[in-house]
Amino acid sequence: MGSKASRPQVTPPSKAWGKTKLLMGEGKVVEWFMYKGDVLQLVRRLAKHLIETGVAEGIVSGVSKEGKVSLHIARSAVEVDESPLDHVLLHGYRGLESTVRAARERKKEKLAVLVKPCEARAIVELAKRRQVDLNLAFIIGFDCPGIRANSDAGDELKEAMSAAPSGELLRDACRRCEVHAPPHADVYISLLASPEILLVGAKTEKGTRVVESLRKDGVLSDRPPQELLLGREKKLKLLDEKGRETLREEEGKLLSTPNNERLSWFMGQLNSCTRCSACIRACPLCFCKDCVLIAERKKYSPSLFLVTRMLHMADACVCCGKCDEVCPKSIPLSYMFYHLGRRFTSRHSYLSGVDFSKPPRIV
Amino acid sequence: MATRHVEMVQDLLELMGVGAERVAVIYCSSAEGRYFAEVARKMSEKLRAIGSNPLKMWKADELGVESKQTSSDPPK
Repeated sequence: MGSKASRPQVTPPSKAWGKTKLLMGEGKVVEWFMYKGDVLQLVRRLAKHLIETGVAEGIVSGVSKEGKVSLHIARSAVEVDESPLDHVLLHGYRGLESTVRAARERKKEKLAVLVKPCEARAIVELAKRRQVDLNLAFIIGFDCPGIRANSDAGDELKEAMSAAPSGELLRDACRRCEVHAPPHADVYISLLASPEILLVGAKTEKGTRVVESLRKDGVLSDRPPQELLLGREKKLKLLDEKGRETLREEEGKLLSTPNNERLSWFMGQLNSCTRCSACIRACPLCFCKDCVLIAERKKYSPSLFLVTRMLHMADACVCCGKCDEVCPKSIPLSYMFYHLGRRFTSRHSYLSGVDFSKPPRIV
Repeated sequence: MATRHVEMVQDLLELMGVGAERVAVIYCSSAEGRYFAEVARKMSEKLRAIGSNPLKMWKADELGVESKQTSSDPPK
């Protein structure tokens, strides 16, 4: 972590918590370019460029085997062409873990990762805890209106990430999402603005260099019309507001039920936990190497297993919904985690994963 | 830091419907024996007024760990 004073943009929080605010949508605006064509093509082009120029050694991707996608890091142009990047972005690999984990576990390597806003938030949280080195990782962030509940692998990336489906279709976690644009990324790709034209932008020095050279190659074209940008902002604001609305509604509903009912609901859910630790393995933020809950899981009662986990990291929860997906008992984990987390963090005027200047509240 | 952890516990208890007032952090020096006794008495009075711990219903068929960790008996 070099301490170059002339680089105000993204020096990760080194000693002092940096003064840089990285709230997307506020403060410094990304410089946008246009791209007309297929997203997947653009991502592949970008990935190849990154590998060729040595900005990244590889891109976190997957290989599909018998319909299941498992982790694979594409390190050459050929591999990039073959890898199902769209699937990785939408569902993660093996349906279990997210791309964030790959970046976290190989933090010494220069890797490029494709992230949704929730995963970008997770990366910010991890960077605050020194689990990801932002100087090495190259983050390609996408705007995301929410992922559909039962979208299968066949879903087109474009369709899933550009249209804003109505609330009922969304995954449970996505419905209460408050951040629909990645708060931090090296290169931003937005499909929200219009179905034909992609917006590509960069905010960090690293990202700007890459975008600039792509533009020289004629891949990206200049200055998109103002109404596209405004349209995107408007859509994002609407989505964020909708998420907050749902969050408030849910909390109101929960708190208005009588205490004993609430308790029996909670205990019923918590007691149905089998301590399988799938949620721990899937969570992008659970980074402890020796997790007490896994090592001594027999000693914990089912309800205490989840309670311990909640008290340990609910303040960092980014509501990505990975735990919901993997839970064999379909306990509404992200519901509990995010509501507890927001209850706690809103009192400290903190929102997980959006701002480098604020240290984590519980370490 | 500890206060924040307790705050989190309070939040969880409140959400679960147990009630945040069952847990408290009180600063007390070793020289303030009388103050401590008073605080402990007040807390236990308060809890007696609220009633017994609703989590006890779930305690019976579980391992001992649970009751230890989530019990909200007064400090001391």
